[in-house]
Amino acid sequence: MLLTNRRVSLVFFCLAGMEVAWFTPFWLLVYRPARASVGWAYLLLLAALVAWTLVLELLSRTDLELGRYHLTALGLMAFTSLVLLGVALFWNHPSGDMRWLGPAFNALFVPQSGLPPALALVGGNLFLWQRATVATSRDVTFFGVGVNFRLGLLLLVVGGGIFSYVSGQNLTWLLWIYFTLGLLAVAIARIHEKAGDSQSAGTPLSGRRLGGLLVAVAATVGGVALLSGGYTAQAIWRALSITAPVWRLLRIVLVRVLIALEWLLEPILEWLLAWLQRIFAAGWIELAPQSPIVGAEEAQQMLTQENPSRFLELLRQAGIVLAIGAGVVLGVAILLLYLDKTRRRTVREQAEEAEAEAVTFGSGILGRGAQALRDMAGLVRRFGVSRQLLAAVSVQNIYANLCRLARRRGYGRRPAQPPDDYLPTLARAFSGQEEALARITAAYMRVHYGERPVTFAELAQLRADYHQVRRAERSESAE
Amino acid sequence: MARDDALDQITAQVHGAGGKSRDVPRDRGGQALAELRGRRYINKDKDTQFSDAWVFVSVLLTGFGMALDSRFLLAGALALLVIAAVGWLWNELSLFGLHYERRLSETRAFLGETVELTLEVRNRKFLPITWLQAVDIIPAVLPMDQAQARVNQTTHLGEFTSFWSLGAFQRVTRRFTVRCTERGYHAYGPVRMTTGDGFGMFSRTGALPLRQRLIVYPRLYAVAELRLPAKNPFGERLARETLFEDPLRTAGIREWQPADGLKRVHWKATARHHQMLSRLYEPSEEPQVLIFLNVATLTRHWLGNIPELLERAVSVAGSLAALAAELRLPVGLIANGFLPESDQPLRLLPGRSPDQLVRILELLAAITSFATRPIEELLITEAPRLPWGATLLVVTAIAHDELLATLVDLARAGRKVVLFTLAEKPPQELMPGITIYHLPHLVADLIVPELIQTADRERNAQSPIYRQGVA
Repeated sequence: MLLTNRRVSLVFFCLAGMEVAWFTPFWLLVYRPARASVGWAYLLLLAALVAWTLVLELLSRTDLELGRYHLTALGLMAFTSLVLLGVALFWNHPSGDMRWLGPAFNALFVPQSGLPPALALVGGNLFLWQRATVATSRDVTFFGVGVNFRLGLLLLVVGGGIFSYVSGQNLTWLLWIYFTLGLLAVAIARIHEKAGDSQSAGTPLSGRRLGGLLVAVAATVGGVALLSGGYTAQAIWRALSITAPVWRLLRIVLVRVLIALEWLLEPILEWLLAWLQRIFAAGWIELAPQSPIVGAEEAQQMLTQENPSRFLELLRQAGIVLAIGAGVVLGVAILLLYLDKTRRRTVREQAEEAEAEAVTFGSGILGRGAQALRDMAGLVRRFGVSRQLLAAVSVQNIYANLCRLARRRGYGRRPAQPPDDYLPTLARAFSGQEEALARITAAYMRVHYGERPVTFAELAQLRADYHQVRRAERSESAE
Repeated sequence: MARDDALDQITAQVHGAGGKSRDVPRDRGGQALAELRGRRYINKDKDTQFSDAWVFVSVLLTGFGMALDSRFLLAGALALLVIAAVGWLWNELSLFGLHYERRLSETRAFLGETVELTLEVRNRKFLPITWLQAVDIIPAVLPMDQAQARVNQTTHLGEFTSFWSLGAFQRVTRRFTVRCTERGYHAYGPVRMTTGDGFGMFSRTGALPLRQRLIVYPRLYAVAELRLPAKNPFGERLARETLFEDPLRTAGIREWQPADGLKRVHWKATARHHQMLSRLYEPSEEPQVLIFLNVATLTRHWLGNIPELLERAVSVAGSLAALAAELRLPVGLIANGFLPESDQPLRLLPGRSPDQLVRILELLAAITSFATRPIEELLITEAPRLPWGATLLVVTAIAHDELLATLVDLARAGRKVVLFTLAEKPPQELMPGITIYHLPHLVADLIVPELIQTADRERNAQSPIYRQGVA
């Protein structure tokens, strides 16, 4: 799998570089000789990991049985460990002279102060072999690579932080290597996964695209490296010092709040103290005899006998702190409840559907007023400014009042409903008044739709009809 | 105990959902711990790696770095912040300047033809798109030579997922060959595109309402395949009846005859040709052909349908329409189906337009197996509205008694009726006034050999048995 696909090979290489990056600080903590050249140590470890991975990959491609495969792998681990010991610690022995093996074994197992260098070397080599073994069967999904990236980053931060603190060396360059390889691995794994899920993938990571990705990663990490020069503790403190007035103000406010709280809670606390004093005075609570503590006797005397006010003062302070704590907890609880309520209300609001409503002023009062003016103008145009106009207005008012009374009784007139069509409804609203209603309706139609004015005799009759209807309506309501 | 089983079932369901499952602990202790952690199970399907912890760790590292005056920790904190910020910005801009285009070389095709489908993505900005996943809705029933769509089990729509990677101001085009193997209105789109930053921090999804339609006409039989008579295939009563003429519709001019009245003289043509010419009117009772297609393939709708049989019936209807158009007869189509994506019935009145056949074929392409009403009801409803000159061609895969009775009634009422039946057996009784074509040879390959009798028992088949799944 490692050698079958260019993208996968690249991801494996990046993962190897990341693992060596976080492993190097830890290894350098136990293998001091390599601290002199951290860069070379990183490169050698990386080369070893890549080499071991390739060896295992090639070994797995052979037709070896599983048992023989394991034996061969174990043999390779032992052999490489010995070679490493010989090269690193016994390099001055002549080639072919294997007498250094004895001291090498002694170096591994003879106890001495600290971790023996030989053990650190062999342990590091075995760790690399273990990672190489895992690498050949590793899943290069986006999730897996992402977890490796984040976990490795945490390990690097911890290991690098400790190493920097202990040795005083700057390992920042290891961070940049880690981020470069990590971001590249994550990006390629994502592309690999997305392309694999698709029915048409084209050329998922051509050389040009890979080059573009490398440029993007290098530009980002390079930018971070440049910016990190200015991101120092001093610079951050300088930046924070700008906000010093705010903190001073907050301190003042906080002190005032605490004083106010104390003032508010003082009566309760005094009552509490008095109650506690009564309890102690009554002798309800007896403390078990304690073994003498050096200096405790003096303190006890100072607190209870010689200086009882000091003990009470401590109790008072503790009570204040408890009260403030309770207040804070209560406040936080109220805040959380409010937020939860707001969130639930927000969810309900999301389910609503809003629609635009016609913009009116006072529920269309302007429109209705304008319509009334237009009606009045129409009457003036038809009847002129004369007594007939007043008669026409009176008829309209009578009919409007009639409609209002009917609506009150549940027999309203529909918009644009013709008066003659509405007449049966009026008759049902005011039963027994059919003739009067018919006259009023006919007069209204004459005035409203025609240009025939009503005479004063007719108007008097209409008024009589209207009052008759009103009386009948009142009597029915009274019953 | 039962409660434990229920918990196990729920856990197993969560495990089984969607292939890549969430790691939900199966034991009760693990579940309780997961509950305490705020139900945050590990989601392996998450395709982004940014979380709140990213910022938290950065702040934490900054605090430690300031306390210890460690440049290493501060650099790590800054890197986390800056990379997250760059990723966020990249992600926000990822859909900007992104164009997706889908083109079909033809929007109409006959069964068996191929159409080229072109997908094109353009990135019109400096920022590269390291990955783009486009999920395009395409008909799964039409196979493509280079790739194949998957059927979404939830929506039952074909989804074609394509992966793209584009540089700055780059255009990438891919071509696919679509084989039109199934009649119908095949809808393409909309498309849903997902992309994000190159570092795997965030992702964005955008929907593009890019809808297209590919109409695949039904297969048309030649007259020889239908085995219809070469002369008067729709019956002998189709001869032009010019007893009554429509003076509102002038068909042409002819030489004036002494019997012609002055109203009939075409004065403008007479003046132009310097000879007396009269108008030639169209007959008031024009021969027309109206095809009634029965989309039902079984007598009862709840018995289901036989898709292959419907296809043959549709092909017969289309072939008859083509034949009528070839004979220069106004032809129309009425079917007991409905238009796609609407509740309107399939109804196209006869016309002479050059596009009439294309319209009929498009309607036939849209037909589905869902019958809105029985064909006999449709005939009874529609017949009174049709002109008397119309010949009703009824195409059906089943010839049940109700339909036959309706046809007899229409014939008695003076309607010209021609029945094209694909049923296994022709009508057993004579039907006066109706021309009947029995076309079993068109469905011979669909009929399963029927077992009539065995050595120990006898079986009489009441209905034809069609072979399912044969194209």
